[in-house]
Amino acid sequence: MCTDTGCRVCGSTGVYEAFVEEVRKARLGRRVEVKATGCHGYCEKGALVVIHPEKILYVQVKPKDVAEIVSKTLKRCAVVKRLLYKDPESGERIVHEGDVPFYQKQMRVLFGNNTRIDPCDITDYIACDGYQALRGVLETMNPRKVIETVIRSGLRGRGGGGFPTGIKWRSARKAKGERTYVIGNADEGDPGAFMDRSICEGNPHSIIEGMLIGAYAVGAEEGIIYVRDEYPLAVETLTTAITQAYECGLLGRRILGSALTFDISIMRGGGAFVCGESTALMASLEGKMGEPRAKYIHTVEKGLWNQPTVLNNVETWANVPRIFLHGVDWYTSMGTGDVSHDPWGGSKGTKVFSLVGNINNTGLVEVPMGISLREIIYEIGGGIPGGKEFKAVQTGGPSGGCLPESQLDLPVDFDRLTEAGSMMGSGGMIVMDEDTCMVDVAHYFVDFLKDESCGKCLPCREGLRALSEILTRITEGNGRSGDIKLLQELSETIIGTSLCALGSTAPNPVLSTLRYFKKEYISHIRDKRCPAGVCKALIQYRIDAIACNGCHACFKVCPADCITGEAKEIHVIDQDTCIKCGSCYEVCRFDAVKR
Amino acid sequence: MKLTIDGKKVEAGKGATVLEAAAGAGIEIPAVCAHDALEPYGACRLCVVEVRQRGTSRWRTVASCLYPVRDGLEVRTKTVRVERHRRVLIELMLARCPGIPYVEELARTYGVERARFARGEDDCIMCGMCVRVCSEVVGASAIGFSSRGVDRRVSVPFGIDDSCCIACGACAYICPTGAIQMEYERMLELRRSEGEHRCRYALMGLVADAGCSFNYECAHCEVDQSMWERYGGHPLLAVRRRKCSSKGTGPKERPGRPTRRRTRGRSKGTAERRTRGGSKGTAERRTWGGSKGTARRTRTSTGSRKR
Ligand SMILES: Cc1cc2nc3c(=O)[nH]c(=O)nc-3n(C[C@H](O)[C@H](O)[C@H](O)COP(=O)(O)O)c2cc1C
Ligand code: SF4
Ligand code: SF4
Ligand code: FES
Repeated sequence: MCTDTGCRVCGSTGVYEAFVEEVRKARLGRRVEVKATGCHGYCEKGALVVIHPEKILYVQVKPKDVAEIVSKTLKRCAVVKRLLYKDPESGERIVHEGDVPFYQKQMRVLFGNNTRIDPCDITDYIACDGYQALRGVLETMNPRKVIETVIRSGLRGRGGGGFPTGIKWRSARKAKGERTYVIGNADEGDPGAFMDRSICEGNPHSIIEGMLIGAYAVGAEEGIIYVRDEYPLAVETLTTAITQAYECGLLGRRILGSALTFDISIMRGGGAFVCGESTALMASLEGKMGEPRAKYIHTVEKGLWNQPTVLNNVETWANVPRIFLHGVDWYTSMGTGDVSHDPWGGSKGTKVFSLVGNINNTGLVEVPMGISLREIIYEIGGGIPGGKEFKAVQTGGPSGGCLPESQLDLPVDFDRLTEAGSMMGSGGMIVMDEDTCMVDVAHYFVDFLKDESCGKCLPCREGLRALSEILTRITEGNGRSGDIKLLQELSETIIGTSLCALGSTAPNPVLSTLRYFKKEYISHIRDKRCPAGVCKALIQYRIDAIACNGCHACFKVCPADCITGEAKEIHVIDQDTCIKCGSCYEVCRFDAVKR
Repeated sequence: MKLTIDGKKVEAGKGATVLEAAAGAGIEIPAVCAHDALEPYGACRLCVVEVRQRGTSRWRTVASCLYPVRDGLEVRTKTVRVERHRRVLIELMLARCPGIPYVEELARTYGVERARFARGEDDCIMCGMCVRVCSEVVGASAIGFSSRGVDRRVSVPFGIDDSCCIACGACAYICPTGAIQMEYERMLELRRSEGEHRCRYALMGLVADAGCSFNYECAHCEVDQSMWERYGGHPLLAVRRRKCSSKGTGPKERPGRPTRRRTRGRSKGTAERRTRGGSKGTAERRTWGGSKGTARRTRTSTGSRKR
């Protein structure tokens, strides 16, 4: 059962304890093992319990349900029907995990083992072929061959940039320095994203194994995992995992009898979004202020303490053992493009997205590259709740772009998403329904980035402030006729001159909404109207005298007491005191409240 | 290293930046946060240029103060795109710091008439020169940046602890806008209460500390006077600049390089900008000299004092 952060919120700790207790009471201890695992992905339906080997999935389990599961399923092999997943369309109950639509289209290369592994027990990982890839590498390959393999696999960085990992390693190997560092980036500051956390909490050894292979390839002896401090559980699991790896001789000196020596330590980040950026992260590791510096000399040559440094996202690291375990051909069979000659030629493998927003199935989904956004949103995500229309999906974290319905058939691929004005980023995916105002969305993200900018360079610091100021003005109904052009001009300079990628991608939300939803900007500026009815300054609620039958419902819900009218009489909203909360609009069953 | 800048063939030493190469060739690029006694930093972005490596087709915009020269590099410093970026940047600077002569002058030079954005009321353009001079040249690291984004500020640790300041005045001297100034009164106060005194020139390592015949009232000090005359500027910066150029390697000693960078678009030199803050006439040069005190960022107009 999942005891990761998402399910913990749904009470999975209690469920776990109940299981231990019930299994003990039922004297099943020798035949049944209760295992607390990492995230399964389907956080929407937590707490999740999977019964192996049949893979029976129980969703939304509460501690009080445990006795029944034990007595029925564990003792008598019968399923507890009411706890099974119910298909929202057909109403059918689905027994097996693999048949649930949420899992069907996924390809769980990294997360597959999460449902079987206790992250705090290294033997579980080893039982699932863990550290076999490392052994194979140490026994049969020289570092050059390792790097070549990674290049041929077409693995590209999962942290945002999509830079070919093998190429990075090769440059680091070539770079001159006293020592080389290997770093895992688990800073994950994007709002709404939690895939890195789930890997750290669910399968920490896959990261360690990946880093060991990387260290062997580039000749590093020291590794660091940089975890944000807001992830206490991840820090705890990683610490346990590292300790166990040392105990098993998988870290330290002469690993597995080879000449490889490698140490890993954990550093905790202070929670600044910009510290996920490579140079800021290294500055922060050096104890300096977490602000980026120019990368005209790459960090693979002069990174941490001015030494060659390989920084990869933890998801990238977790991919590495998989490639060596199952081979390059297997890996390149997933994804788009052709990477046999050029690692930039396509996107291979899988990608984990955290699917959130106005969508039925929120959670973590791992899909093969090249799957369309439509499949992710409608087949895995189960579509938009409440029968609402889809409006846009934002991929790539706060500085990603918003893509409309017309782009839904776009394959998930580093280059195609960039062409469409968005990006893969680290894998955030926010779905928005028809009630979303795109100007407001752009404003929200620009504000986030404005607050997270380190403030070192002028275009990002002042430029984002100016962007935010213009967007505020537009959403408040004070937009001016030249504002769209001004937004574009400013964005261009911010992109062209910012020091780091925070600044140079920050205008994406503005530019992409301008590209696909320009009409909304125009109605805000010219007609002083917010089509989605979100921008408070631009909406007015009033009651249609003909449609109102005096049911008095709105009168009762209005928190500002600004509706007057007796029962069975026509009601009126006092515009001066109305706070535009929309409660009356929601409650009126006769469509008499107009917006 | 051979490169072309605006069509002109230029040679530069290995490790030089494009900005330095351009300065050597007499090509002017505005560079607000660069200073030849300091490491390049890349905060103002005004030094933006377009570069293209031979054999590639795409022109990239980069900060020339940081971009290292490479063989066969082509550089354009005055394209439409570059000029447009510069104007928007200056406009943003002007919006943040309206009424600062230095910024206004810059705006005039580049044809920016007014800022289309909300006006702030800051003096500091965040070039970071004060912070860098304090750590790189003085070695005191008494001031630094705090907060982030638009809240970023130059400050002493926790906003209160000025005990690391050695009152050398380098920050106030280097600040292009006059945003950072010395507080003379505060310094004297500190000295009186703490008994033991040291000469700040001793702290800077420029003279032996042999007691002061003026009872550490720097306002009357001859050493101060002579230091300025000897070095023609802040002694620490002058020493540092000389050190750089006596290293014998690197870009800093190339012939033809002006000893004092004039590419900053600062047309009226130091005197003008330092008069900001209400000091009159002759006070400029002595501002720091007379104000033996802890560095404090102030907006007051009484910061610099006349002796
Ligand atoms: C503002 C900003 C924030 C970033 N945050 C993260 C992060 O949280 N996690 C991460 O892995 N990479 C982050 N990155 C990307 C890193 O700079 C870097 O490219 C990445 O860790 C390299 O690993 P990869 O090649 O495996 O993607 C961020 C980049 C920027 C510009
Ligand atoms: S782009 Fe933004 S975050 Fe990056 S260095 Fe400049 S101010 Fe800092
Ligand atoms: S106080 Fe002056 S020198 Fe320091 S950052 Fe501000 S403008 Fe630059
Ligand atoms: S960024 Fe190059 S001089 Fe300021």
